[in-house]
Amino acid sequence: MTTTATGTSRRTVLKAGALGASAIGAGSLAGVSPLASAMPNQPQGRLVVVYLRGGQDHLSTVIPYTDGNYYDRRPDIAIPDDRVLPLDSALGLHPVMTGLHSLYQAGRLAVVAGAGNPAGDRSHFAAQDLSEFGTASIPADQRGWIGRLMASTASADDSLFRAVSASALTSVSLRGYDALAVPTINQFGLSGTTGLALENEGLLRAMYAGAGTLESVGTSALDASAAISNLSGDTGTNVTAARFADIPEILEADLGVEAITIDVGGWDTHNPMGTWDQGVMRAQLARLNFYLSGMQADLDARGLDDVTTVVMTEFGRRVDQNGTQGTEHGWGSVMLVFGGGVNGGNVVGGVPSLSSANTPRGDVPVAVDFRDVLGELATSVLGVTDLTTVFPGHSPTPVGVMN
Amino acid sequence: MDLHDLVEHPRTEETAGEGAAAAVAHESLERRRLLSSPLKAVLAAAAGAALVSACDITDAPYSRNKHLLRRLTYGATPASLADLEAKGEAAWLAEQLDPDSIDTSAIDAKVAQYEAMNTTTAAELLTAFPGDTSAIAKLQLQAATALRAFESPAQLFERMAEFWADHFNVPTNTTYLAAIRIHDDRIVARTHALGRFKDLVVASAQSPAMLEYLDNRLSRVGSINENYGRELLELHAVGVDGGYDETDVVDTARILTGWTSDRSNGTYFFDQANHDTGSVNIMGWTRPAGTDYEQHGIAFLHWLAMRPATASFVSRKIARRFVSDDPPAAVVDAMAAAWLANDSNIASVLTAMVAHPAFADDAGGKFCRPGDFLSKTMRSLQAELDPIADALRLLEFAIATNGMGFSSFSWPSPDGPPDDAEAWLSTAGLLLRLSLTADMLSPAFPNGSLIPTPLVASLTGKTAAEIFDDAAQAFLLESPTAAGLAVLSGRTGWSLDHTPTAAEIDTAFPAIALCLLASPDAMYR
Repeated sequence: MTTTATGTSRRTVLKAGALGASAIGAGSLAGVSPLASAMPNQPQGRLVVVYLRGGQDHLSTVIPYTDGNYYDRRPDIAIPDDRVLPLDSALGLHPVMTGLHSLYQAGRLAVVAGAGNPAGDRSHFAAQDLSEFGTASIPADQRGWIGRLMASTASADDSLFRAVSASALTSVSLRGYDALAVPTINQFGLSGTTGLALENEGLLRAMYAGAGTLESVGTSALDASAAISNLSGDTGTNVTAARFADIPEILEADLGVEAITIDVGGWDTHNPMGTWDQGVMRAQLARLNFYLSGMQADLDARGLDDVTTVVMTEFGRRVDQNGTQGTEHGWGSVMLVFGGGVNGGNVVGGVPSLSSANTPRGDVPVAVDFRDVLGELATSVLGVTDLTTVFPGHSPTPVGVMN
Repeated sequence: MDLHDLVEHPRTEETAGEGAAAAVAHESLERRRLLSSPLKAVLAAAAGAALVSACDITDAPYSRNKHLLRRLTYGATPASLADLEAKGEAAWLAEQLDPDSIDTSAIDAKVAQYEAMNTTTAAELLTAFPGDTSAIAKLQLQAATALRAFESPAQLFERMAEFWADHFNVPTNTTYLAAIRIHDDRIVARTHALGRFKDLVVASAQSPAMLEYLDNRLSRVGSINENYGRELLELHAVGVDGGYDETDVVDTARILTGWTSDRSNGTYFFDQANHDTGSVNIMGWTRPAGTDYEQHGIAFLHWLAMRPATASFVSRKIARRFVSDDPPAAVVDAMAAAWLANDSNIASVLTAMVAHPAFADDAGGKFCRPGDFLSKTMRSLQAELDPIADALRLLEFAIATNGMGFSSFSWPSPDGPPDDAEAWLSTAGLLLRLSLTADMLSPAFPNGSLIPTPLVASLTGKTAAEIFDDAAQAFLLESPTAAGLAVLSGRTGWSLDHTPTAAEIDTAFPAIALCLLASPDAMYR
């Protein structure tokens, strides 16, 4: 039950068929031929990309606690200055984010204030796509920034597990490379509830032995399922918590993972957000703090010091509270970078005084292009130097979140 | 209670479907064909014919009737094909577009066994399913919807009801929405599935579930909430490139201030005291004279429904469900023209779609969403379920499809679940399709295997070649290819001229059925 049908070793699970049968959107579709340009990168570490879906509010997370404009414009939902966890003399974290604040104080977490996409799109779906494409307008290839990165550095001995979505579906950021989708360790496998699928693994392999896209995904799925069949996995009922708990185990298993993406939803807070000590935003941030600091503690316990995590969203929310003590779609947002190799304990970018003059369209302005942060991670963590391939139309400049 | 973390958080790519995005999805499908069966693709190009499938198990020329059933219903069966052939396309389509003419009493009686489905008002649901018990109402809605897809003779009606439930998405991610989602489904999608979009958009705007989900119930003069106004324009009507700006979003929210609900009993009402009576200008639309302010909002929605941008945006979305991930502009244009000429009548739009030559362009190339795959499998097995006695089976389906990122009435964001292959084809989703299919064929499945016993009994005395062909015809309406026969022969150990005993057939049939029902072909429609 735990041995694999093909005898593949869990530690060196190679991508079946390698480049030729690469699944949807292999490099050749993206205009990048992996065969021609195969130049394997030398990753320094592993990257976890946490995406906060719905437009996560900057000003409830990283708070300009000395700015009177902030308190004037959010009379019912601002976080009191004597409650924030200070980052520096101008900005502080929400009081519930104690675990992340400890990482900051330990010099292991960097905060990017005023991060965003120059496009400034107010649609969730357009903005999410652009941020995952890694562009400011819809790119010709429609591929994700990590997918492009993986395709441009693909080689014949790629691990099957190079790029993983901790999800039932594959992240847009991974499109362009045949990534795995592994919702949780315990939700990924052939066993089903009756065992009939596992009894017929040989048959299923024969059915999916063809060279088409679907067949390739099927073979990858069967190989990946076998490869992680003896990991234990989290068994909790909260799916998001289980995913965060599984990530350190997957990374420790040394399967050749280079990047994992994971989503946390529930950030579209048009409705009453609550106050510092009660309500939706506090609960959301408490969960996020629990997920992120818990994952980092587990990585530390396992001695995995080469894992770097970045947290991002599609846009921040507007400065003014709306008519229902919530906030509307805005622009500048928070990015967090923590873990291995991080130049932590400092804030990159910033938030200006939130006067009307400083906040066109009512937005927190963008001080740091999100691609400059991701680009620095692509280089420092994943070892990629050709960033123009990864971020078409932009030449990222490091912002200093990594050592 | 926030149920949000208990469901999947898949993302969406609704807006990316425009233009180049869809072109890439199309390219992927083309690529699949070429890689799967280069020789066949070349032959197809030479013959100028569309093929049903390009996979290795079945291989057949284009059949108009099979294509109609594969696209407009939840799965073609020998019986549904015979029915279509007997009636002829025109009569069959006319009947499907007029669901009142179809006898649905059997499925209606099944659904009526669910107490939550037997309610008529949101108030009844809120009373009967308070707090966490709302999960029961949600499960009954999911089970009833699955049963209707499997068994209702009004198949096109059910497909369009699903389409509108996706289009005007309201997830059951709070106890309140889980309780009243049945009411929303009844007054929006199921009341107007084949009627006018004008009526759909007004019904959705006044649905207590939508008013709750996108916050419009809280939006008042002087303190507006833009959430619903923005998504109405972007997702329900003209589309993100539909020619509106931020001022239009604000004015859309303003014209709909006072459209609210009594949360305690889930009823819509117009609260004139909280309506913003000021002038608005939404993409050139201005408020009519008079002081019937609620009617001003309705007039705006009717105007919005008849914008050419709305006709094109929603027609394209319909075509993505029924034609291809990247529907040709010509078919979308024909549908939009029918929309504008027929007062946004959806039956007219579908008629134009089916009549257009491009309807056949991508035959056999549309990747099934998880729910489509399950329904098709159930219809192939000719399995009919009891709504109560088979509750565990239905629960297995709900759990498995949720694991595939597809829990009905649960997509977490207002865009609704996507349609394209690139969104749904994942390692996790495919493993679950294989596992679920196998489970359904196992005697260990709740209430036993779903294998059709009359089919198995009819195979006694036949050769392996005949058995494989009969099973493929029953399940997929096609004969196996040489490659498919080789796989089947290899798994059963039967040479094609071998005549297995009844006992041998019983033992081997789950694997034979799995090979056909979970084959690469079976993932497409």
